[in-house]
Amino acid sequence: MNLLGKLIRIALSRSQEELVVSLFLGFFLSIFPASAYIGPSTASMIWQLMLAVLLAAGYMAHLYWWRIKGAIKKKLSGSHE
Amino acid sequence: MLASEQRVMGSYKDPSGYVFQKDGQLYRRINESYLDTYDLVRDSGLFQELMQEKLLIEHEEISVEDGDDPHAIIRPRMIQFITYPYEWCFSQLKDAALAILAIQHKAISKGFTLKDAHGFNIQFDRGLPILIDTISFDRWDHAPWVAYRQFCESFLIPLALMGYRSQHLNTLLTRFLNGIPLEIGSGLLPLRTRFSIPLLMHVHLHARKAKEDSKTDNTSPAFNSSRSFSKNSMLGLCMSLENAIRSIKPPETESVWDVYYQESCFYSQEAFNFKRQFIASIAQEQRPSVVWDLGCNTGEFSVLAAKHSDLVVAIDNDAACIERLYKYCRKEQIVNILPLQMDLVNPSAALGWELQERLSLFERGGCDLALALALIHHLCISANIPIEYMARFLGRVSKRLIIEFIPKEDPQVNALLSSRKDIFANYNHETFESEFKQYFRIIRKDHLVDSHRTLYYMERY
Repeated sequence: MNLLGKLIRIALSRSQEELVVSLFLGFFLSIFPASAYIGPSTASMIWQLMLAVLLAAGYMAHLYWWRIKGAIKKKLSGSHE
Repeated sequence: MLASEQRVMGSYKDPSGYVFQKDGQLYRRINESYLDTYDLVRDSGLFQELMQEKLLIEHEEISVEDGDDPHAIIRPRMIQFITYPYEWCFSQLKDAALAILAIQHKAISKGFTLKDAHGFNIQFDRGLPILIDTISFDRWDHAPWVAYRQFCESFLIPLALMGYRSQHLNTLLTRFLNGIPLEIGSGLLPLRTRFSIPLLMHVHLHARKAKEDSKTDNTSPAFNSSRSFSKNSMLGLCMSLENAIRSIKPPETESVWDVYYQESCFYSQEAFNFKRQFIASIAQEQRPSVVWDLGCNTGEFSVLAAKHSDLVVAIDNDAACIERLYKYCRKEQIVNILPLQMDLVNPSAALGWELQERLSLFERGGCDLALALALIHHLCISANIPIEYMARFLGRVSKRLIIEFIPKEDPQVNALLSSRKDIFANYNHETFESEFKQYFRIIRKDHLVDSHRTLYYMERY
């Protein structure tokens, strides 16, 4: 066991030691990309998920366009007065 | 499957069921795996709603079988003449794309989604695009649209290529039956399409994403893409794709054939009226069920024939002419003319697995009456097709024929021969009649006044 491990064992209780090791490993491993099997349409599924918020916002804006337009008009006419 | 049943070869990809023919009727078998979903879709009222809006082909439930091989049989209404996306003009492909999106929108609203979004699921029926794959619906589990890429490759990219490059680029779909790949489409489109937000999003960035991910090491376990995709996101996707489709306009081109009958000086008014009367009288007398107008131009005579027949398939190689005819029929609500973009010198061939998935022109049944008006000189002089080959072709496809022979004295033929050597020693009335008599009996023959042209009406032996 190396010096670092000895120091951690001395300084921390067992559960705390496990927590530190987990966090350390998790951080270190997360910098490597998780390789996954990508089927031909998987990229398109991912692309849709990436666009999801934008698409939903666009749809909501389209649905409530008149309300938004009315609110903006009201605000602008209110500020001119 | 019984011996009397014949499976339609193009119907094999979906394990939910397949289409087969029996006693001249078309049926669709629904396999056990899809029975529950079919019942859900039917009971939700989605089928009814789509049929009422003429977005889905009507069908009749024939039987439900239990036992060792549970399945159901439905009988969809038959489409009179099958066509394919590579034969459609720009506006036809656009209308088909919008129909798919309208169907997906309605399906999502009821908790279902389309499994497929390719052009072969759409047919033109009574002038409108209609979904023919009744079992194309699946329960929607709030996942992204599984057919999104297929829609982009089958509709969005071909339309963009037709709009931004050439109206003939839909023929790429004969090479790429499953849709023009994202990377190829993105590469072929001009730079200015990157400034169109919908095309940037659904074509260029989509293609880049697909390309990047295809380079990823694929040795790890399957990626689980079941993350939730909200209803608003899905409807937003449909709306965005619709905006993309609508934003593409056909190129403003006017071909010489587009204005042929308006500006040509090849007919006097009297000759033109006589030609119209000749065709109208025969169509009225014979009442053909299906007419093929070969080299239809803008459909002047297709419209005439349509008044006395069930269906006129109007074929021309000129994209502008077919586009114009389709729009005219839509505007005037002429529902029994089906315009198609096709080169008669190279008509649609059989394609797909074992060359049986998509039918050639010959395999879609012939016609009761063919119109070959102002056509023969283009095939024989411009394309070097011997008169005997043309007679054989017409004898193969049609029971009756109205054909216009245009001799070398005609100004049009003079124009065609002006820039080439006249190697057509056999292009004359005598050879024409001799070759066509191998297949047809000449019933009527009239010379057009003020013209060198002759109209024939023939019936096959």
